[in-house]
Amino acid sequence: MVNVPILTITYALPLVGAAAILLIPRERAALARPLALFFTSLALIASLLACGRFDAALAGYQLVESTTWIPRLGITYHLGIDGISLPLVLLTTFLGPITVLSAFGCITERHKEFYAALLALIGFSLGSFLALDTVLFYLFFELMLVPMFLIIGIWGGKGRVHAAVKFFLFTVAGSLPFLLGLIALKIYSGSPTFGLTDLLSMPALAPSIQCWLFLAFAFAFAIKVPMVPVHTWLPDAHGEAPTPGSVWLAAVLLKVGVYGFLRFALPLFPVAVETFAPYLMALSVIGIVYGALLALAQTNMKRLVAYSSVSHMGYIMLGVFALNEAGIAGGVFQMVAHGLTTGGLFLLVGMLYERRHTLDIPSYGGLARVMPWHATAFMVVVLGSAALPGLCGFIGEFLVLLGAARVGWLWAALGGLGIIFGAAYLLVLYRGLMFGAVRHRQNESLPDLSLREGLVIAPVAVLIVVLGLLPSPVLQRVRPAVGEVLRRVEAGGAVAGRAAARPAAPPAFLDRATPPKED
Amino acid sequence: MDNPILFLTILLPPFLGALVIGLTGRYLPRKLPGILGCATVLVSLAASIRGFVDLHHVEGALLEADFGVWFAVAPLTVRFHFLLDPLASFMTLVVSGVGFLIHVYSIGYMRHEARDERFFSFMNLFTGTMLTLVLAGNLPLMFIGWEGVGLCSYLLIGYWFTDGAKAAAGIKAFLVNRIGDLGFLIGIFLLVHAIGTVDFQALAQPALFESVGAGLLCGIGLCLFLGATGKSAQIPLYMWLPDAMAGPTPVSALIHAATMVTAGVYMVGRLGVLFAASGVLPIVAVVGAATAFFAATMALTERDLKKVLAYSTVSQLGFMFLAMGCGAYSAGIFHVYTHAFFKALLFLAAGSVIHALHGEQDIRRMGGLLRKLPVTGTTFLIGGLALAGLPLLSGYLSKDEILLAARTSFVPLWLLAELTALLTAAYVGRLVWLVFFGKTRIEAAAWAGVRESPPVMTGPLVVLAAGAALAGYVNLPHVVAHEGAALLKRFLAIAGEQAITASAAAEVAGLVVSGLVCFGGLALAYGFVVRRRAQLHARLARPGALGRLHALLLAKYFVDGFCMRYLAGGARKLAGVVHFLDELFVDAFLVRGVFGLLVRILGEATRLLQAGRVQAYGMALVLGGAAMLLYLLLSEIPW
Amino acid sequence: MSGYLALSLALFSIGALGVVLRRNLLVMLISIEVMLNAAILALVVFSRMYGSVDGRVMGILAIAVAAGEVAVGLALVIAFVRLRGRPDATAMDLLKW
Repeated sequence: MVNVPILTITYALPLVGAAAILLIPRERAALARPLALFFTSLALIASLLACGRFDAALAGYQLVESTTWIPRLGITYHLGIDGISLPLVLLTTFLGPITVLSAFGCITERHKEFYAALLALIGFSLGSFLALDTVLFYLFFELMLVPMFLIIGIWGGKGRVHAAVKFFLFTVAGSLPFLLGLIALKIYSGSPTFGLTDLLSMPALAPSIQCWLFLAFAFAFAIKVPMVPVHTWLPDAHGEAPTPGSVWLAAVLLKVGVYGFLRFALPLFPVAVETFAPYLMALSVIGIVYGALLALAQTNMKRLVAYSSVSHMGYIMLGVFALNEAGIAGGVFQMVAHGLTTGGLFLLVGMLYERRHTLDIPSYGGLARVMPWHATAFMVVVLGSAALPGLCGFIGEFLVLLGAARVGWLWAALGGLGIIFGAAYLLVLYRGLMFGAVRHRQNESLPDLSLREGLVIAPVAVLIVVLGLLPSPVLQRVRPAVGEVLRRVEAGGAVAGRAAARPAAPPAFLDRATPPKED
Repeated sequence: MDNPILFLTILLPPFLGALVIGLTGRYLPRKLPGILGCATVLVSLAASIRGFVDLHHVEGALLEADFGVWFAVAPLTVRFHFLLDPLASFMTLVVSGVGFLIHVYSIGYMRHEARDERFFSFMNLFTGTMLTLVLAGNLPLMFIGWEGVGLCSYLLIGYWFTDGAKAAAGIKAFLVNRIGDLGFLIGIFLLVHAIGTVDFQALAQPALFESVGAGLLCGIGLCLFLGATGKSAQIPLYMWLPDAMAGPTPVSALIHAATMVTAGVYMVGRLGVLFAASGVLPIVAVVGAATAFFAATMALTERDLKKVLAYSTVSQLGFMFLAMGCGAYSAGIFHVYTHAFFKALLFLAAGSVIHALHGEQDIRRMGGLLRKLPVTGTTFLIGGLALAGLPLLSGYLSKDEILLAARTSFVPLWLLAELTALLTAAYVGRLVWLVFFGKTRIEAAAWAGVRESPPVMTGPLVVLAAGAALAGYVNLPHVVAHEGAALLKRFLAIAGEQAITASAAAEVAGLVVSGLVCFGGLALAYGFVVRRRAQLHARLARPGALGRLHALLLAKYFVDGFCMRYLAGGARKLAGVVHFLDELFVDAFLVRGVFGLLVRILGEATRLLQAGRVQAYGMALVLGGAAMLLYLLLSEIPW
Repeated sequence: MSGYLALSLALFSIGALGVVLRRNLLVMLISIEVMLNAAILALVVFSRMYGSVDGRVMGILAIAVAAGEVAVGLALVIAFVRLRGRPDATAMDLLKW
């Protein structure tokens, strides 16, 4: 049992499922739903098994699977998890069956293709959290785009094509510098492979090179997060995507950007990180307030939640670039919390959309009387998102702000404005949908949650409460990994003095370009 | 001494009750949710009494329980650590005791509603979170209760959510509280930064603060106090409380009079040593006295029965903060305690009146109700007189303590407080007269239908009235009781309390002055409202200084309107502007404009190269090949 | 030897210029043949220079292939003339967006 490649199995299961769904004959397309549910549930079980074998006390990568893949190019097949990726993997596999289940209600055509695309998306997302080879990560990072592009572009709303193309162009624009940076990184560092462990074991790069490469990486990840001012693709994509697409986009895809920062940009370019951290913190704070204000001005509920994502992702980035344990651990926790709360919001908003086919908040009102269970679940999720103590959002934001306050109390104060505005737009949204009199006759007869919808939202709501009261099991596993990242950043900062004195190593490709001397 | 069972029996029943009633209430018989709700609070009350008794047998007068780690990161480990010291024990008694009476009363008050499981679920949740706040052993844990009670307040203010204005009042309360909560949070962060601990027991060591810079300490104190002003409706964050009266009356009694709003006072007492060391106590005292005065003036002209009581609550909370600011922590807590009785009583009796009048709240359309509502009227009168500070009632004793402390600490504030006490007696006199005495202003048809409330509502009134009359005797002044004096103060023994020393003569003088002030205020009310009502109205109608003052008071100094218009409205406008900016500048101009144009220009430029002429491509091929050959040739030549 | 190489270079250049500058497709085809023959000549010259028979083998092979190539080329030219009515390279302008 020891040698079972559990991580490969975890991410491969949804991909196998996607292939299987594509292979079923068209006249039996109804099989797609149970198959999708089956394979995502298997992936959840596999990830739980992996979690069971994970040793919480260790800092390094665990359950590592490593073989050579394309040796000529130095590309390896290298998977592993640590305390940073484990919660994200579990979040992803947890949301897998839920997203599939939520799709039952809103996908009305091309079932087979949709579930295949969704499962491929799930598989690629998992792959990106598991990959420890930079090229492998890049591969999954890019592959995720394809099913997401299709999901928005085929099953989306009215402006779906525009939104899908915008989403694709933004992300690809970021990917190109990332790929170039990746290649330059291998060459400059002299590493034999693209494997992260090899890259990290090389001597530190010269500060100027670090800065350029960091910027290349950060550009790609910042678009994915998204940080202000490269966030404008998000509301369009969210506004047009079908419910499962929105859920996945908010809950998982955005996290890949932060994960990229934590996994690659921070450990690889410690000097650059310390140089740019204040600017990125400033951008994060701007994002928090800016996103919250934008959310306050929306009348389209999906766009409102999308802008709330901009604000919440600002918190995560603020924590990450506070560069201390509270901040980063809080950021990782907030990623999970945001995945649950914002994912939950999109699920609940989607349920309303399925009933009334409008996203306009004034078209609703007074639903708390008509749909009490839906209103109850919505309240829990809204409060989780508004960081009420005792729910998961609080732990994340508290730790992030604690970390930011250790850098300077003004960061915490400015970032904390988000908790005021956050409560404002969420409660205003809630009032608009749930409170007041029922103004539209067709709202009088809206059905409350069905059993399927209850099964979709109940686990999310329960987990929001449980993680708020018992965050320790997650934080315990996150802390050693965060400590490792911080150790690298600090060690890099210390080395920086020496590295600056030493002239930059000549880039290796110049050596190879000179013709081999004969005799 | 560890006693986890005790803490579980205090804390868990209300939470379980909230969960069970909330999830299954819809399927239970009509009356069961109310009974369940009362039962859980009764269990908490019994356990609180048990804790109170146990405390006398425990060395160090401290019970605690630790339920493991909540969360832990590098600088901070927060545990589920609860502690029951005399202060906490006293507060749990107030919360669960008054809370229980109000729950019982609610059964009667809500009996005309179709369903009430949501109400009792929220009330139980409130009791649970309030007890968490009181029993918490560290600041973040207290913050669970702190925001939890705010949440319940929001939910219950907007209980009748089909009315949009009531839902909006809930949001206002929550958001104003959030501003304070941000201060609270930053206070916690600064505390972690400066001292490294957030445990109350550790923070009771004065030595801890000696090595911390004065500016930082002051900042911590101010931030935490900002949190207290939010929760306890003090200047500058008091605007939400009058609006909070949109909730059902038992909610106003429990949350917005007796318990939640006193959380700020409790927090200052809990962190007494910190506040004493931080040097912000004078600010606390000034804010308290100013709030007390302004709120009392606003209560003078208010026409809504519940809002008069709301402004009165703000004013009395100001008295409590004045006491805290003078370092007389036990006097503040003493007033919390007596206030819980008489203000809960006043609200519940007011609720009984409103209930009898089917929702009428305007005191101009009441009058003479004592005849129709004898129990309600009598108990309201007792509560009102206790609030006015009629000698020998509870409010007299507790307010006198505060005035004594103010006189020995800040004389100007003492004078302001005496003036406020005068105004208090005046508005109480006005209120009582307009509601219960004189000729009724209710239409005859409605008048005939006015009935006294059922025993389930009047019962709690009677109990609370007894409390309002007698509760003060646990803390008598030295000059009266000698050996038996200040029992409560000695029991509480709050760390950081500053000793107030006053001679016997000074104490007597204080007691006499307080009595005179009360009678003076009542006489004022009698003079203006009863005897010369017509003249007063005529004077107010004419333009002049008095008329302008009246208008100013009726508009509540324009503060609320200003805040709603410029702060809340401003935030919305800012949001609109940012939205416009984002769509127009960032998305349309930068993304689609500048970058879009750049890409388009590049595309057009390269398109020209692709003319499609085969020979042109061939030419490019040949020239390119030739250039490469040339380069190779040149690089072979040894220059 | 270098004389033959110079001849090869000259032939190649003439052919290349012909392909690029002339408009008539038939002339272009002939120019391509000239370039090919220049290459074959160079092959033979190098074969002789290094005393290896490989180049000459390749040359004969190339001549054989060239015959086929001309056939295909002529066929394409005829097809084009039928389509456009004249053997003019400027009419080949569809390769654009």
